[in-house]
Amino acid sequence: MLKTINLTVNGKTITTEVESSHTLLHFLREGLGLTGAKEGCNEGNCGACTVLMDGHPVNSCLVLAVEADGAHVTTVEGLAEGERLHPLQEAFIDRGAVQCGYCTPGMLLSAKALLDEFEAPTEKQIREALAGNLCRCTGYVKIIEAVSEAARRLRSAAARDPSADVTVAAGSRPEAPSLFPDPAPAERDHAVPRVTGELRFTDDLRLTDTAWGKVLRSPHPHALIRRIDPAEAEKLDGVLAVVTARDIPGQNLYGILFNDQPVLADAKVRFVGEPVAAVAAVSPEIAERALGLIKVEYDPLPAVLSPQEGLSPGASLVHQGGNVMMHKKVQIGDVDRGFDKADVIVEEEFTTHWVDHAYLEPDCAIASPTEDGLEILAPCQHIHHVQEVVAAALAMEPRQVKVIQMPTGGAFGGRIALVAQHIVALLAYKARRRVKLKYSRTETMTATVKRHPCVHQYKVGARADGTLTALRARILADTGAYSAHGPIVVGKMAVCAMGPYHVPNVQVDCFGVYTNNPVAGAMRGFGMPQTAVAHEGIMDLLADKLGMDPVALRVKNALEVGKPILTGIPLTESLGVVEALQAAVAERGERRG
Amino acid sequence: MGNQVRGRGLSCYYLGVGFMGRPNPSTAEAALLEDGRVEVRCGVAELGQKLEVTLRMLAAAELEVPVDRVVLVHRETDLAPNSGVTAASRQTYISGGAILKAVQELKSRILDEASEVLESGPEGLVYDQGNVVADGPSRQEVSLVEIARSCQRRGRSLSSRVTYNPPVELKVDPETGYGKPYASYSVGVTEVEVEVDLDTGQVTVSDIVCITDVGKAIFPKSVEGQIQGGAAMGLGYALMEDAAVREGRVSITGFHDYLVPTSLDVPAIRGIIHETPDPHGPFGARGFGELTVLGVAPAVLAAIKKATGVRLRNLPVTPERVYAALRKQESLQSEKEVNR
Repeated sequence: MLKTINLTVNGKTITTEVESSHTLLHFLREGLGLTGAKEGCNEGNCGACTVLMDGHPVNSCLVLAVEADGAHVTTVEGLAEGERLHPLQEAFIDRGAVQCGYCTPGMLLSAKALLDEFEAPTEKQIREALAGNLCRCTGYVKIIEAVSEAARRLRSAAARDPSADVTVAAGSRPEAPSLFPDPAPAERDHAVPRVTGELRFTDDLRLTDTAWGKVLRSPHPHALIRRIDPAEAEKLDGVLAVVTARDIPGQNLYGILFNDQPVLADAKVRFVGEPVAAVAAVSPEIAERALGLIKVEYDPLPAVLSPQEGLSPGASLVHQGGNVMMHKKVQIGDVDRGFDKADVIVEEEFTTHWVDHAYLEPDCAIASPTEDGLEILAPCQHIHHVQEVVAAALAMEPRQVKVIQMPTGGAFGGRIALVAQHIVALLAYKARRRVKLKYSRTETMTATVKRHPCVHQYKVGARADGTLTALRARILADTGAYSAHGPIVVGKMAVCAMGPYHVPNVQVDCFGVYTNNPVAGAMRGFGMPQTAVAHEGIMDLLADKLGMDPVALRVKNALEVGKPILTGIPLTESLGVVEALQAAVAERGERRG
Repeated sequence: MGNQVRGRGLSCYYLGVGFMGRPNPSTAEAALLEDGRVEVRCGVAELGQKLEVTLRMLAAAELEVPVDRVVLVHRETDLAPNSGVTAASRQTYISGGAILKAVQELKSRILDEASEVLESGPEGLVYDQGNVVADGPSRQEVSLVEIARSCQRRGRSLSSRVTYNPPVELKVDPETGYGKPYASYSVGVTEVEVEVDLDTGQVTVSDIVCITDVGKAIFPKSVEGQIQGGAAMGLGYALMEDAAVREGRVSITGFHDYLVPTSLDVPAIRGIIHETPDPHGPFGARGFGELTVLGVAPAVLAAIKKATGVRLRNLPVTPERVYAALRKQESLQSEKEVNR
């Protein structure tokens, strides 16, 4: 039902009709083209859609447009006065508070509401005011500094104190003359479009003649696909294309080291959420309805739900070649003799868990047919990899597929692998139309890769003085249904298993095991955040048993020039391990002093 | 407030930069534009780490010009060569190296062109702060703008293209792992302070210090941002983030059931930058963007042990796990007392 509302947006009075079910966020983005407010979750949890309503910050995804009748609304586009940025925007740039930029508009508006109320907010007040705005890049430190700095500048401006314009950089080291030029112009190029809302992420683009994509996903962790019948869906009015594996003219399988993952599942599905088919239609609603009309018949298979299960005799096979995706070994010296020489031996098992990248910008990709190929617009971490996979799937030359990295609202490894780009390309190719494929927050969290959960069994021997003599480690990593970046993770966990310490006798067995769990792939650190828990945990246990100071134990075994790394080659250049440990001790003294 | 105890804990960790045991090169191009600016082309991805700033600074430093005299083209497959993936902490280290080499090659072409403009042999020519200077009795100077104009008049363009891999042979024996897996490493130490509520098991991180050796901090403000953001992500990893998979199904659907740290969960984070130069990194820089996630979880486990005596070994350290471990410790202690 349409309703007429009167409101003021960024100082402009507007009288318009809105659909009574539409949110304020929808009205701002679709009705007014103000895309500074972001649709990060659509359920009021992330704060990326924050705007001010009569001066108060609201999640505009939780407010109906009709509720804004009579209100004064401020969006990020209304913060600057012409070319003159708001002091908050300036402080965000100067303090380095802008990273990917996706949370920035909402963050700025929550901060503005705070500064409108309090001239000199405390750090606690700032933290509380920003608690509803998630940021995945900055750790909030520089954002909090920036808000405090903006408050100071506003106070000084009010007092007409010219010294207010001078900013003192919050560096962590003394400012020496730098080799490098003043970064300010480049910083502004990066940050200004992010603080004004001018920067367009993929979902912010308003392109003409765009069809909508949706993906049908497997409800089973492991099942044979007996039949896929898209006929009913294809007949639905407004449906432009339905794609299944059969529509892929080129290579369906892709991967990093092993091409084992299909763009769309054909013979069987290997995890819940695996793409099976996709639809392009004139509206998202029709695309959604069409998904329900695609008939897929499955024969469920026993599922492998853990790496331990995957390794057990008689386990169901996720892939024909066996469930061991990779077994990476390190065998240096003589590990048994190493333990014989030990005065103390410690043993422990550590477990690490499934983790999501949780980048704030939900996945979105747009593909448009070009004269001889396709153009793809999407956030990603490697344009040439997207080009390679899509070209192979569509049996095209790479040059026919043009990939443009759109501003990317965080990635952290989650956007190395293809997320939506290959599926939208296939839809645009078949429909011969521009297609946009946008994932909801839930789809972004459930359909994408995760950090490998691992079991780390560590046994370490040392002499009474703390010198490490041997390491035996068995690491079991759940790589999920497909290899993706699993081989890189497994390899890194093996060769860096003991951290920055020298151990002369080593036996490491690191297994990446296929299961019918979600795909574990690349995530910031490639297995090292898991490994660090194990090698530091075992070092602490050893320090306890030896009655030795944990720092002294680490210094004693630190990798230094001339000492071999885990894989047997002596280090030729310092890594600064001892210096870093000493600095931590010095800093501790300062903090306690 | 409740029954709280405090403790500090430390961790030390490192990370191999790039991909293991094989070359992972990057290609970069540099070209002198008609207006005397230099365009650098390299297909890296800006993800919030501000490579767009760091790489321009790096090229500008080599060219000895202000940063706005360098343009970076990186987003389109049609325009930028393949840099390899923006991951594994490899872009400043490897693509930065490629860009540095491409700019150095461009500079030598600029010197050749200048020798024609100045009608002087190449031997007396020196590149100095965006100018080429002919040192001699009559000191002559020609700027990048003038060289660009000269190229235009002569219908020439000056450009370079370099595919670069750090000059270290990477090889790992498939059976024993013996060999050199990475050309470079970066090292960090993190110390945290935690407060543990003995009644509820709730753990709060009240302080984080991260010493991070980045080889050379080209853009210190973004280095600090990476340290602080990484530590916050590490805190989430240690205490609250859990994408548990049950019966093959991811249990999370959004930010209400996947808890990432908010401004109330992350304490002040002090990033201390160390600079042990890498022999091959551009200006000594190492890759470190991922490293900063590693330290918090092990340091939190150590700090909880220090504060409570309880050693935990499973992540994430939820209040339920801490509570259960505390109760178990209590019952063991009372058993001991009874047995005495």
